[in-house]
Amino acid sequence: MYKLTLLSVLFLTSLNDISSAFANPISTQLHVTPTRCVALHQGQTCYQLIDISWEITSQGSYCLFISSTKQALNCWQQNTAQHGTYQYDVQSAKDVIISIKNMQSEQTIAQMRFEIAWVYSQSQQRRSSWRLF
Amino acid sequence: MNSFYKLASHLFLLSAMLCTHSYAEDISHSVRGGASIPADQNGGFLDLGLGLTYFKSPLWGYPEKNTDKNVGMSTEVYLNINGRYQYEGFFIEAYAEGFNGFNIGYNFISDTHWSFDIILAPEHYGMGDEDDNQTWKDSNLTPREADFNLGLRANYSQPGYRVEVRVLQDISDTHDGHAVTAFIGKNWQKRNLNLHVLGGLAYHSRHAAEYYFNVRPEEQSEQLPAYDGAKGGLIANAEFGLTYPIKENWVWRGLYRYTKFLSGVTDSPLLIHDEAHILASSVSYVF
Repeated sequence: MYKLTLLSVLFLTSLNDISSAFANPISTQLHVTPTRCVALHQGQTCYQLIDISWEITSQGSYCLFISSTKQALNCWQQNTAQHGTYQYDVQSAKDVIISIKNMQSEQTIAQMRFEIAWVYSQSQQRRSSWRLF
Repeated sequence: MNSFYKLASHLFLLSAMLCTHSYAEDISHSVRGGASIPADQNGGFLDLGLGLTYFKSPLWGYPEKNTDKNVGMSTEVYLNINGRYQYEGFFIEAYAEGFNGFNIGYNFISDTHWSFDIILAPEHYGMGDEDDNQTWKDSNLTPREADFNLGLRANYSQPGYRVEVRVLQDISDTHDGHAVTAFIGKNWQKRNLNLHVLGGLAYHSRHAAEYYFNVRPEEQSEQLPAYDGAKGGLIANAEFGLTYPIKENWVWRGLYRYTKFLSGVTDSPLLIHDEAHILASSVSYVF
């Protein structure tokens, strides 16, 4: 059910993208370096200074978002093709989504996942136990 | 294997030779926040690495050139093995950089904070015994054999803090001595770097001290006078360590460890300093 819903959303989103593209061709590139952060343990906060860069070819009002905060990191208005960069210090225990939204259409025009990885998986909580062989 | 033995002879000898400690895993391992398995599950973990240690040994003849107070620091490459396997409460573990290199045991109580194990473990490693130490071979000293002990270890943990107490009795007929050790450790995180401090005391009984640190009249030489004053005594240990995740399967570890012989054998000719320093750095692959 979840997969079906997700597929539906993706399908509708892609239709929306296609219709938007025909009306107002948008070419957007979004890059993040590095692409992941490695913590020692699963569940531990991972810290990584990342460089986010983008290039958008169409005019409009845009904002840069990261899933760990509700507020936009950066917003701008552009009249011509423009590229930009933003440096952000990720502090998260789980993957974060970085996205650019067109604030007029409320449409996400680009997004990518910044992955939080770890060396040691989290152990389950130990249960209280006594042993007599 | 040779380098692992050398590690036992040096890294361990400095701090474990006359002192010891641990956790439901050895506290030196658990305080780093390394791999662990809940006590009620079966399985294991292993990481292998290479390290470089820069150390000042207190023991006469270890390393071979260490025969007077003027000998400075020594350097050695070592194989860093960290692993544990447990099944139905029984476990075997080896932590090359830990205060206790090797333990076999049975965990009979465990809960969120407490853990109690029955353990079999070497407490004092041999000197001049089954190694190629030419300094000992050229001396009149009789080799000192490694012991093997039966004991109990208790661990208490809270987020960020760990305490470990071990009580061990030699069952190998080497010296029939006993040892009691207590350690407390704290860890914290600074960005992706994991830091820890460990501090503790170890008491070693007269029998062990006499066996390893007395020099019998027939063993004396120009370099080593006879000595029969070894008594039970205390050793203090302190460690500061760092652990950094390089990649998902690679970990860097660093430590500085200080050991101070407070009493018991401080005037033995086989103890050329009453303190030891170890600086170690290693990179390991986590399987």
